[in-house]
Amino acid sequence: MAALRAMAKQLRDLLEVRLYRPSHFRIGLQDYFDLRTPDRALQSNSIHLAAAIDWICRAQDANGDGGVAARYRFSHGWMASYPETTGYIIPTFFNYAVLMRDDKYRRRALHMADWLLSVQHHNGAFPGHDVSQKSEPRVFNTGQALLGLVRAFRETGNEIYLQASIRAGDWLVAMQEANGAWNKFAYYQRAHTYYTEVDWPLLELFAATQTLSYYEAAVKHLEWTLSYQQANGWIDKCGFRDDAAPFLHTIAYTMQGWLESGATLQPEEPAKNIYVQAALRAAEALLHRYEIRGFMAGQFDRAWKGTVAYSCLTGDAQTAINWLRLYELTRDARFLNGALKLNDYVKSTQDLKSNNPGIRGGIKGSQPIWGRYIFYSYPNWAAKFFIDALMLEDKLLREFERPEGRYEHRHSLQKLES
Amino acid sequence: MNIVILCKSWNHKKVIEIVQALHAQELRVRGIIALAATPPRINLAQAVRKAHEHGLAHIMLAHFFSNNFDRHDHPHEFVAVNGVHPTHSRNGQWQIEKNHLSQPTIAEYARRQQIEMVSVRDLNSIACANALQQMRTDILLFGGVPIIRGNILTVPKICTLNVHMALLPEFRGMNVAEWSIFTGAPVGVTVHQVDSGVDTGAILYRETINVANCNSIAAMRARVSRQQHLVLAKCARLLVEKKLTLTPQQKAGGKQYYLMHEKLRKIVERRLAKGYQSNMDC
Repeated sequence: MAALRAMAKQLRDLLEVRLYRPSHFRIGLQDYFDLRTPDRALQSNSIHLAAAIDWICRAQDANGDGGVAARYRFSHGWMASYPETTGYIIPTFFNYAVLMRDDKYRRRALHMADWLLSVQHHNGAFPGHDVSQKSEPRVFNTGQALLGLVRAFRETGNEIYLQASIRAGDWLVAMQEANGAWNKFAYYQRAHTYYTEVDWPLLELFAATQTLSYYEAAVKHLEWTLSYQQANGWIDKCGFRDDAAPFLHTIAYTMQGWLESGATLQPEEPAKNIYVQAALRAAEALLHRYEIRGFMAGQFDRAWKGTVAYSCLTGDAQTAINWLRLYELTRDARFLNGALKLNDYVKSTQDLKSNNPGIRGGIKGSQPIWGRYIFYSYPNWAAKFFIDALMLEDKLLREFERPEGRYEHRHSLQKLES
Repeated sequence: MNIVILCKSWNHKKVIEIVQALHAQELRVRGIIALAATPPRINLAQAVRKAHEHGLAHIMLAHFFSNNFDRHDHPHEFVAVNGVHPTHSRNGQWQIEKNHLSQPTIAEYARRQQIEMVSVRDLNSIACANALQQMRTDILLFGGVPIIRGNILTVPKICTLNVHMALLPEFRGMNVAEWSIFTGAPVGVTVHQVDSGVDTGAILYRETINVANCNSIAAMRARVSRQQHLVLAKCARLLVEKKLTLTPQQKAGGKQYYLMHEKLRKIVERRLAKGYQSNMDC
């Protein structure tokens, strides 16, 4: 009887995700047999990049409010616009506009910023979920919206974005505990180390306003997070809820927060910054695990062992960004090498031909699509991080196209008497 | 003095070159231990995936030519193992030409030289350790092997040696000749004692190699490969004569490198094509 019930539930689930739709069924079948695009058939980065940008443009147009739809779900199609991720998609679109010398992406970024202004709470905070649900303010989401607003101010000089940023920043400072952590209005009402990703926007706001309280709040939290790093590079409290095996997504958030905060705080010698070094410890452990296994798991335990058979594509793209940034800061080519492989992996999962506009060019939450992270969905933040990763890869590889003089070499070779 | 060579396949050309280099140093090989060929075990999903990746023709040819398909399913590795060259046809599928198949396998060569041969299912197995003991192994040489555990490494009476395609301790791990070039370092070889780490054992000897006239990765690897067998044999000779000292590695001084991505390999190819000169003196 129990087996019958389980089968009935599985059938219900399959119906719910509408696997009977040809475009959905095709993805299901491809993922079942792991039929990713072979390496030799991968397109150039610019083609994958353009497909992902087009996907985000469709996600922005889906609701018509200027915000970017949170994700395309097999079960419901396009979801409502999501302030948190719309916030950090803004810098991506400004960067892409510069790359392509096309003002339409800049206009889209500004449209997103204007929409953010419309959903900001009176106290300066931003809501936790997409706008279809009535949601209380959230620290993390406010931080990510802040990132977009500060960038919009930098790009336009328009005070309206700065004032909204200041209100958001003031709310973040007010919500911070004495020890530097954020408990109130945090996900599951508990402190997380991946909120280093809030420190970085606060430091950006400090750079824009020179208001010391933002700097102090960021550094206080960064110090609090450092106390949770273990000797093997592992970071405690970096999961949403499951600290025993957090998603790569939140591990990568923590690392990115450290990296970008460190690079902002010590721009003259970023590689020597303590937060960059903390990110480096975690990145090295992750790189070793990935290279030895040849696969990036979606969740890890405290020994950096992958605990699941699926890959979290969002986390993969974020990790590629972190490794590329580490290569940029330290010139350790192993990180560049690992990032190229991860980018290829995510590229191999991107469908460039589907007739379904919710699938074509988008990046799945998990590979295969039924993996635990954002299952049967194409989240906008996966596409955003993928775009950032490819743009950074192209930028760094362009350095090798210039005529080479002396090669970068950081080893001090010692003579050995033989 | 009993010298035994451990290798992963009976089709590994490298081992024949090591044996020849040892003979040139008047050292005789007591035995060769290699992995027994295992039949391919591929389930339906893997088969569909492989056919999607390489094309059905490649799968069938690989099965025909190799009984180690599980371990060497990439065309480049397939070449290295079998001496069979793939070409890229118009439709993008890998095709394999029959040539070099007349070269003797290790087994044929060893039979001619009257070298004892043992096949094992696992190079870390008790059977492998027993075979080494029965051969009364004094020096064990690696001729291209996966990670070997302590139960094997402790059997030889004198030591286990490996020759590494780069200068240690700076470049540990894989594709290290390519990584040396990518980072602007000298290309070289190192003979080292094998311990439980990855290329972390004490160093016996290291030597730089001029690759300025090697205009591709393949040419560079061939050059380094030739030299490394000679160096390994020379070290074995000096070890027998007790003329070598061990220099422990400073583990903090080096990095472990991994399989190099194709985009970085192309950069290395470009540097070699221009005539590579290291930035560093060594």
